[in-house]
Amino acid sequence: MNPAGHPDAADDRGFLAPPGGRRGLGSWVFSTDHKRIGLLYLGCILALFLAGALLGLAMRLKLMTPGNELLAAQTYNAVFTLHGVIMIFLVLIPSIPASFGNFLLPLHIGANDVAFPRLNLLSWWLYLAGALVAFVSIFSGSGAPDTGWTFYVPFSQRTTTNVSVAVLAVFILGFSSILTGLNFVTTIHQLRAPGLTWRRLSLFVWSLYATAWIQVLATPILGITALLIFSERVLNLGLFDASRGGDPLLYQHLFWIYSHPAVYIMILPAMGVVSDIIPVFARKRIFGYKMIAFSSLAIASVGSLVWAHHMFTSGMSDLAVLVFSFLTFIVAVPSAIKVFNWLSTLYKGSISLEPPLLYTLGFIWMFSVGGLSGLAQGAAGANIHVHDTYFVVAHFHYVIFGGTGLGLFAALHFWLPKMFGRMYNRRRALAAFWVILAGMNLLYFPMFILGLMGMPRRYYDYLPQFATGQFMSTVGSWILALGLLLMFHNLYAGLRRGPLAGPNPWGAATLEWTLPSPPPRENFAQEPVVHKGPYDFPRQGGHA
Amino acid sequence: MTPQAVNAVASVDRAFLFIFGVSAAMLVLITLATIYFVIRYSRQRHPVPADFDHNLLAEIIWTVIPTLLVLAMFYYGWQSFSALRGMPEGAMEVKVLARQWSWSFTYPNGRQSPELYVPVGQPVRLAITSTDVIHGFYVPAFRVKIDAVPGMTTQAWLRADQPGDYDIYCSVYCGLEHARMLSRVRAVSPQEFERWLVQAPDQDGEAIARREGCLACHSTDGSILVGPSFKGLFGHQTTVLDQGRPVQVMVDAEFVRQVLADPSRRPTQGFPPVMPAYPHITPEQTAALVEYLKALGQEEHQH
Repeated sequence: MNPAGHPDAADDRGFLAPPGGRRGLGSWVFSTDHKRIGLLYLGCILALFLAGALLGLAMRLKLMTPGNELLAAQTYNAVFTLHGVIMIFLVLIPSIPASFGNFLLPLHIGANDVAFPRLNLLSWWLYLAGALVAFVSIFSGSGAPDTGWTFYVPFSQRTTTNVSVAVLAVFILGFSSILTGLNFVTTIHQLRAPGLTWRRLSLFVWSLYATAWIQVLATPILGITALLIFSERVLNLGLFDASRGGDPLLYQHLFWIYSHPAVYIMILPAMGVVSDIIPVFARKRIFGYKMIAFSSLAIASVGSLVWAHHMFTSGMSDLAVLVFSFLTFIVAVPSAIKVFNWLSTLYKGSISLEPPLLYTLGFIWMFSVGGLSGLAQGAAGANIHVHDTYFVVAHFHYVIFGGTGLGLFAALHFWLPKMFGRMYNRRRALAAFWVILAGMNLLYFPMFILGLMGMPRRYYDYLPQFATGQFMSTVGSWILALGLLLMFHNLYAGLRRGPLAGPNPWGAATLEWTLPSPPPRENFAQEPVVHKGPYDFPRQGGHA
Repeated sequence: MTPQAVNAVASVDRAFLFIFGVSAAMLVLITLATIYFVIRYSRQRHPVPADFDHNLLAEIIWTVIPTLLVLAMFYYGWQSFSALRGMPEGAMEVKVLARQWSWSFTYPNGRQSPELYVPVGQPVRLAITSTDVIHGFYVPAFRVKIDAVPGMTTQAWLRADQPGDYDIYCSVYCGLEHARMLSRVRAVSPQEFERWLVQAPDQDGEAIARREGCLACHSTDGSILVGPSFKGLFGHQTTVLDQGRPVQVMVDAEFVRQVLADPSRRPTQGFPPVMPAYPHITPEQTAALVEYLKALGQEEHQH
């Protein structure tokens, strides 16, 4: 099992080989190697994704027909809360940055690790602790939380379910996210290899950089907000209690000041993945490098000023609606520019439709549907009708599952061969994509229609006029589940038994592909010196 | 979309259709471009990629045009929002009270109703609040949605141009029976509305229980909703929690009076302590409710 063409790779298992003969769990959970930490995150995130997906399937099964009694009302309310909490706080927010970011950031900038390796391990331990506390909140106290992932007061103060423990979990997870962000910002500033100027950073690194700043600046507000709910419940301060001079809308502002930027924490790294994959398979430099890098920063900064578009019906002033609607439309422009840049990179390229690119194109399409449907919600008048309906549920899942989810799957298909040194089956990867795409659209598109018809979200039962759309959506969830099974099985079988991938199966130009697959423990034996950009491919057709 | 019923509706739908049209065109453009590029510039057909990575003119065009389009969307959105928010002068005001998990509508003459009766063709203003958690007053047919927030009064208005029934939903998740917090707008002719408005509301126990939303949580057939069923309740022993300790009490007229005044003092064991207080219920109404409960209590006793 000697990887072809790499005689200098003494150990073909690279960083996966037991370090210093130490085997077992300890060599992973106490390792400060960014690659091992990245894989720890990836394993946890995928496992929790499957748990969240099972909850989603249960919800769809319950909603298949009106009057269905598969889940009792209280159970359904807890299930949609857990689905949201798991998917948002345990899967999407860490998703690409914590797993692929950790694995790739030092490799992309020619460093041997992140700036603070032990802090990085602490982040993972905090993540694990947060996940365990969240797990405890489900099975202890007086029942699983039933507030929705948004924990809106006064309901979250009054409910007798285990909300206090759940917000504590969110608080702990927030710290994990802040420390990762801090680590990444420092790493990008301090540890770039000689010659790797800011303009030669890969766009994936640029997106991690923008994301890391949001993590550092916005997450503390989430921590404070979670603590405030906790203190309200335990100490009964009355901060959000109108009868004692408090204000329930204050909570919503605090919550969305973090949770809207959090959506960009979820989507920006996926945009970075897409920006790195397209040039590789088009054999062409990315179109508008500076605009894409700049638009990440623009989205991160302007995106921090649009939070109250979640509150147009909340009773806040009409003037605030005017301002936040305007800012929301402004932030739409950089996203549109990114899409045009990606398409222009394909234009006159030399395109090879390998699985990573196909999943990437799926991202662009699903993100376009999701992003465009967001415009209807940014418009103040139209927002009033669709707010808190299935339209929002559809929009969100198109952007976040169709976007971040497919971005993550594209990253898996692109980088798993680098991580494990083995290649999956190409044909099955392509087939799984089409099943996933069909399932997603059948699952979520009817929700746009249901929302326009007035179907409110978070209902455990519904009136008969919504039955057709609900039924179609449930069938879609089965197709999607099948597609996901196909994809994960193919990837798993590939990394176990697939043919050796070699150091650079895609002919990519960023630094990680100069290393053997899997990369050695110490990354770069010699500090690399960078002379070219991340997308300068050797010219094809004899011009190499 | 649900049928149109007021002018603000037309304005909202215009904004929506404009945005939908532009979005659909963009999506078709993006989809076709992607498919065309992937086929036309496949590695077989196009082995040598072109070498360019910017084009100032194209970039200016695709920055400026989307900016103008979203500004137009912003404008239409704001225009329709203004139509929804511009409260009509001199319209009748109905007070809307949301509570877990029912609606109550109070008219200027004091008439109370669990459903929103409105005269066709006349605008009605709504002053909305909540007694417990945040709810959302949503009538899709009129594109009206506004949160019901405790300690705050929010405003909305609507005008039904066609007689008929229109669904009211609670749009903000508010706990266990959120999905059942439904009611209707009943749009009737102005004459019929006037007749309805001056009718003395029924003061028998069942009508009061229905109007006050009791039946949203307490069934009359023995099934368990949120609270104990009224069937077989009155005249029997039940277990309440007095400062956390279970105590046996008799459900009698005095017990009913105490629960209505302060339900949180001694909640029934085994049920969530979520019932709101009903301080506005008069002694006469309490007496009528007691008679109603008494009948339901005996019903079970005969079994």
